[in-house]
Order: sequence, then structure tokens, then C-alpha cells
Amino acid sequence: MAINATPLRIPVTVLGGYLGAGKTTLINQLLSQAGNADPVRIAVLVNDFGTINLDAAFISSQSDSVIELSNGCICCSLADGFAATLDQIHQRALADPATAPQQLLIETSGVALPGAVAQYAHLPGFELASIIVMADGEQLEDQLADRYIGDTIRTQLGTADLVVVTKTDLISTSNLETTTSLIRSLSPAPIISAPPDSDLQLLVFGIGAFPPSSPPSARTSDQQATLAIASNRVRLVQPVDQKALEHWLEAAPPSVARVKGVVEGEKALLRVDRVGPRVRIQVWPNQVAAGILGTIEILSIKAHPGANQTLSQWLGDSPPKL
Amino acid sequence: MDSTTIYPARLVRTLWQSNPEATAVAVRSGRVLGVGTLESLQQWGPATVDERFADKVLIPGFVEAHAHTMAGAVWNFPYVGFFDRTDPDGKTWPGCKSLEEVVSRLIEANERMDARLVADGSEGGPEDVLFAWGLDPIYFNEERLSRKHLDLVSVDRPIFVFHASAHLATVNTKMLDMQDIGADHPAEGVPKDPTGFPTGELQEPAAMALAMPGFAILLRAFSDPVSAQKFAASCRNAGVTTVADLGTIQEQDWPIWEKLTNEPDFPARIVLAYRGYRGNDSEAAAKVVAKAKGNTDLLRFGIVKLVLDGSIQGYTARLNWPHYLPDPQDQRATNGLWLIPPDALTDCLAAFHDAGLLVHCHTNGDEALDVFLDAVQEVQLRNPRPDHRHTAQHAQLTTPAQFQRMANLGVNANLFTNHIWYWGDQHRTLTVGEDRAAGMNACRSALDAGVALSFHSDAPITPIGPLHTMWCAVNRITSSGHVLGPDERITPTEALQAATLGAAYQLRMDDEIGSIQPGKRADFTVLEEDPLAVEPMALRDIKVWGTVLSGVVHRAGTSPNPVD
Repeated sequence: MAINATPLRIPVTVLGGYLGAGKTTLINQLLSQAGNADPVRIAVLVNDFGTINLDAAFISSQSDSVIELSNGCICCSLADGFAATLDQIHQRALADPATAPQQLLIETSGVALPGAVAQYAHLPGFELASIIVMADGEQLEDQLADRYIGDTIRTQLGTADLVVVTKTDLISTSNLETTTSLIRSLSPAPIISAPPDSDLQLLVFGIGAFPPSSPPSARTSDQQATLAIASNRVRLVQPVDQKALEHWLEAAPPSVARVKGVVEGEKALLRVDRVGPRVRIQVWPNQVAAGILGTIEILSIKAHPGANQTLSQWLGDSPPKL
Repeated sequence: MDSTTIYPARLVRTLWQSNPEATAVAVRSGRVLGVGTLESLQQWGPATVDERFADKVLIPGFVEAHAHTMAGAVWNFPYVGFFDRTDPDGKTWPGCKSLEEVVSRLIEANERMDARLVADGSEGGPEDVLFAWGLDPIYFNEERLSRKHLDLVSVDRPIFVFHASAHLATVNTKMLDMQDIGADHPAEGVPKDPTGFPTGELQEPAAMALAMPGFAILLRAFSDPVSAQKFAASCRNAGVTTVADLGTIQEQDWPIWEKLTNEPDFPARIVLAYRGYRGNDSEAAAKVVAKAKGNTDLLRFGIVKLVLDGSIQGYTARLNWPHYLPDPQDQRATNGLWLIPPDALTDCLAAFHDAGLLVHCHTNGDEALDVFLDAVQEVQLRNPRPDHRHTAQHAQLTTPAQFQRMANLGVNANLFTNHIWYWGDQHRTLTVGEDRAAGMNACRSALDAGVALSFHSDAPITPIGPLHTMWCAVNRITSSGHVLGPDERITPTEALQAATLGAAYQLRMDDEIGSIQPGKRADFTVLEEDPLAVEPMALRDIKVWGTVLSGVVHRAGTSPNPVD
């Protein structure tokens, strides 16, 4: 993964979902794992420091608006609002690129529309990586029927690039199926039930990461087996026809959380992205190593409803040479 | 013993039921010593008789229970709104009735900035932004303001025009270029023209923040002491003696207000409401309680502001069925936005309620109001607090059943009557339709249900001016001349009560201000005419001579920090 290199623009992941969906738990897990094998400097923007569960020994400095952790991560309060907080982080990153965050995660309030918050990721120095929306597996059905919040949760799910269903241990398999099909009726995004502990960073940041460098398939097969996410690579025959490429990307099965790569097009190199259901192809102005050019990396949710039937078929359907 | 001053007046309207009218008021130690006649007040012993109000009408100082101090900051910048507006120095800026007039106003402002740079021998820089405010494109039938209009003003200096709605800004090509906002910019809220280049309009704060040199001016505006002075001067000019900033001044800026309100001749009493639901509410409540122990005459803490939904004209207020009128473009969501999760409101409210604080909750739509009333009922069941005085702010679409429930729960209504004039026509035709618009800001229904009533300007959303706000409640006329819901009109007497004692009650200060009565603060609004004697349509035209604040006389239109 390229998640431990300092990028030019800090990728922004927006974490949405109603109260009780598990946003804070996920953030606590991420921060405590950030210093493990591949240290990643994560900046987390939260509404309330009090809910973040930080071991005092883990904190290297603290002010009213920023907590710095010994693993290089920072936790920033959103009391001054998104624009001012992001601007401060950008100014800090310019002044000291060596300690700049490599990933930025914004925790939105339970009623915020993550699609609207994601627009702040277009501020100078940042780039939108993905929108992850968490859903409370136990409550979602009731919440969607609620007079006050049903429409808000529908809108939240509708803008997701990835939906994470939590509390699945509290419900029966058939209830989980009902919940999953409800989500699928509202969102084209891939769905993962019960966020995995072992590859949480990959789940949260890998979805949006770019450019491709050392993909997770470089890990040993033992590690692969524990992942809830499968990584596949396809080598395209180049140069590719952009229209055909676009059609192929749009036809990806719902289990596909991320497609990325740089390929040779008719006139220029093309950056290929599919983040959740969003497809984007742009001219890639930079160089890319020969071994990577033409290789498309795909992350998919292993236990996704209907995943196995279509993924391999889709992979075999890659676009023809121009 | 402190000296006594007696002010004879043409009329003193006390709003004290037992002595409603008088011709003189005696003041000692900043408080009302007595009301009556010059003769009857002699029983307090020797006094100086000050004749300066002999031909004026004295009423209790107006209380504005919902404004924002940034109403002062905006006057550091040129105004380009549609309606005439008066600045803190008393100068009236005519409304810009066309885009051409907007451009001319900006060209003048640009020339003033050039002249100032020459005078300072400065080159300017990226911070040298021409910022203007108040634009209301809803009133222009022609094309919208775009970068092309602003390029006529300057191609060298970045320009940022902030719209009255607070949801939009328009910038010039220089600003777009400086900030690298080009044809391929990915953000939503950056509309493109037919050539594919941004039009210059930036929609919603995330897009406005892309023009950071302009947006930063907005962010900084809150903590500027000069702006604070201007805000207080605007209050005085409008006859307001006590004003609540509902939740825009953050803790780090409290010292500015502590210093200013201690200066002699500061012309307004400021209530700084704390904005809740920003982290740990129980800790925040303890902080506000502690802060309120140090309250001075002119600076008060102890009110908490919560914001539950958005605005009706922005289609972000939470409305009960049948929600908003259909969108011709079919792009809008059916309902608005929550700013606090409905499930979280009860605990949030409880944190402040349990600490003994008074909570003012922004509930523009009737669905938001239902959630607030549910929360009040729940915290009252858990921890009954007699006389809590929690208040629904705006509450513009409140139904008769909701007013009844508010009366039963002891919840007050601070309605937004200025909307009738400024957006009444839009509400009839675009947001909720003729029938529900007629029931917006329903003062008559509120009073009939027994709800304690006040109304507000929400300055700078609309100009601070209780006489105008009263005029709206009494006449209910839209800017096109339509009478909106005539059955919801109230009498001038009821309106005067709402603008003084009614607002004081909602700030839990009615024992101290809001009427002219022995023992209360000597707070008067000095008027040229009697608001209960003029034609109701002439209410807003009454001239404000000035105010008396805790016995200190403040003349309208004199600024301690003149605008250049």
C-alpha cells in the first residue's frame, strides 16, 4: 500500500453514519493500530475529543484543539469548523512536510450528510479519497422507518463509496440479509459486514489510496487469508480504448470496493479510479514504473452478497486492446 | 447618597400595569427610582431636572433576544444588498436594485481601497481582498452575478461578494486564478458556464472556503474589537439597550467583550449565549454556570443556544408533512437538515437544564419544533424545573397545537417576524405556499394560546430594529405589499410588550429590565413619537433619538469608532 508515503495532497476519508453506528469505535481502533507494522501518520478530525479513548501514555502533547500522539498521529477538534481546521493542517503540512499527515479522516456528526462534508476535501492540499458510511446492523431497519431520521440515513447511505455494517453479532443471519438488501436498495456501494480488526487500515484508507505502488498482494498468502478484503490484479492489453475501459469499470460487481491503476490510452497515460460506485478516468501527467503501467489493482469485499459469482467473470471481461 | 435625576417627558410608557403612563421618571444609581409626574417625584428629595427629553416619548429599552455580533463586522465592508440599510454611524446605504448598481458600488469601493494603498504607500497583497456583503439575487429578475460582472470592477484585486443567504458567494476571475479554481475543479458547488469555466459563484461553505482569502475575512470577523463597538452602536441607533448574541461568540473571544463592556459609555448590555453540542455538554454547562457568577451589568452569561435545523428559505429547515413545495428542477431533497441528531437532543438539553441554565433552541421548521418539545417534556419528567423558560427560536411554522403544547410545557416563542417583510413573498410562492405562509410567525396564535412571545431580527440576517420587527408583527406586509395572514396580526401594544418585557422574560431578566418600574435598571428607548399613537403603518418610521442604559444617555448616530 502507498498509505505510508507523504503525498502531495493529503487523501481525505469522510466517515459518516448515524449515532451508534460505530464511527468512534473504528477511530479508536485505527489510532491504536497506527503505530503497528507500517506506521501511518493519520490526522483524525472529530467533533468531541472526549469520545476518543486515548491512553494518557500515548499522548505526546495536548492543546484545546489538537492532541498529538506518540505514533505520529494527530487528533484535531472541529470546534473552529471544517474550513479553518483543514486550512491549519494544510499550513502545518507546508511548513513541515516531514511530519504532515499521510491520511486524514473526518468524523462527521450523526446527522451530517457525508457527501456535503466531502466537498471540503477539495480545499488546497487535500484530495477526496472516499466516503465511508457506517450502519448499525441492529437498528438500521427501524432507523430507516423513523419519521425524523429516515430520510437523513437514506441520503447518507446514498453517497457512500463503502458501507460498513456493524453490530452484526447482535442479529440473526436473516436479519442481516434484510439489512443488507435494504442498503443495496439505497446505495450502489460495496458493503462489508462487521469491520475486520486485522486489516482495518487497508479497509479505511486502501479504498481511496492512490497511486498504486506495492499492493497488498505483496503480503504473504497467510496474511491474505485473514483479510476480509481480497486483492486482485489484472494486466490490461495496451493501449486501451477509453470508452471500453469506462464501460468495463462501470460493470464491476457490487463487491468491488476499489479499482486503481495507470494505463496507456490512445494519446496519453490514464489514471483509472473506481472508488465504490464512482468511476473516474483522467489524464495522468506523471511517469509510472514499467512494471506498474497497465496493471489494474482491485480490492473487493470477500463476503459480499453475490461476490463470488461475478468477480472472476468480470475480471475476465477486461477491455480489449485499442 | 447618590444624586437623583428627573427626566420629564412628553410621555413615559412604562409597560408597568399599575402605572402604565407617566410624564416623568426619576433615576438614581443607574436605576429607576420612580415614575409619575415632576411633582409626584419630589417626594424622593432634591433632584436635578434634566429637560432634554421634555418633548420625547420614553419607553422601556428595547430588548433584542436573538442577534449576532457579526452584524457589526459586516460594516467594515461595502454593502450591496437590495434593501436600504443603515450603518452604525447612522448613514443609510441605498439598496442596489440591479446588478449594474452592485457593480458601481463595488467600483467605488475598489477605488477607495486603491486610494488607501497609495496613502499607506503599500503594494497590497493576497490579503488585499475586496469583500462585499448582503447580495440578494432572489430580487434580480435578470442574470445572476458572475465573475464577469466582478471583472468589470477589477482584474487585479481578488473580489469576494458574500450573499445575504449566507449560503453563496461570488468571486472574480482573479480570485479563481489565485486559488486555482479552474475548469476541471472537482468540487460540487462550483458551477461552470457554457465554456466550462467556473461562473464565479461558490455554493455552500465548502466551496466558499476554496476562496480562502475572502472566506478568511468572514472567519476573522467575529473577533474584531472594532466590529464589536460597531455592533453596540447599531443596537443603540435602533433603540436596543439589551441584546443577546445567540451562540456566535466563542470562548476565546470572551475577553474582548469583557474589556469593551467595562469601558465607560459602552452603549449596550450584551448577553453572550453559549453554543452547545460542541463536545462535552456537561463540562460546558459547568463552565457557563461558573462564568455567569461573574456577570456584570453590561455583560451576561447563562444562556445556551442549540441549533437543531437549517433555514426555510434555504430549504434546510425540518418541516412536517407536506414539507416544501415541489422543486421545478427536482433537485432538492424533500426535507431539510438536522444539525443535532434528534435522538441526541434530550441528553444535550438535559446537560444544560440540569445545571439550571436557560436553553434557546433554533427550530425553524415545525418538525424540528416537535423534537425540541419532546426533549423539553422528557427533561422535565426526569428533572422537573419550575420556571425553566426554555425558548424556541424562529419557530416560524408553529401550528396551533404546537403553541398549545408550548404553553403547557412553559416553552416560550421567539418568532422571526422580519421574515414576513423580507421573504414573505418567497414563502408564498416558493417554499411552503400561500396557506402555510399566512400562518408563519403567527404572533396572534401564540398569544391566544398563552405562549410568552418575543420576536427578533437575527441580525445580520435582517437589520436590527425592533420598530421594524414590531411593524411586521402588527401589519404583516410583504415587500411586494401583500398582507400575509391578516388574522395573525397583533396590536401595537402587544407588539411593544413583546419587544421589551417579552424578550426580557426569555432572557430571565424581566425582574431587572423590560419595563420602567422602580428598582429596575434605568433603560429607556427615547423616541420622537408614541408607538401606540401613530398609524400602525408608520411604526417603523418613528425616529429613535437614542437610549438610556443604566442611567447613561447615549445619542443615536454617534460612533465611538467612526467608520472611515
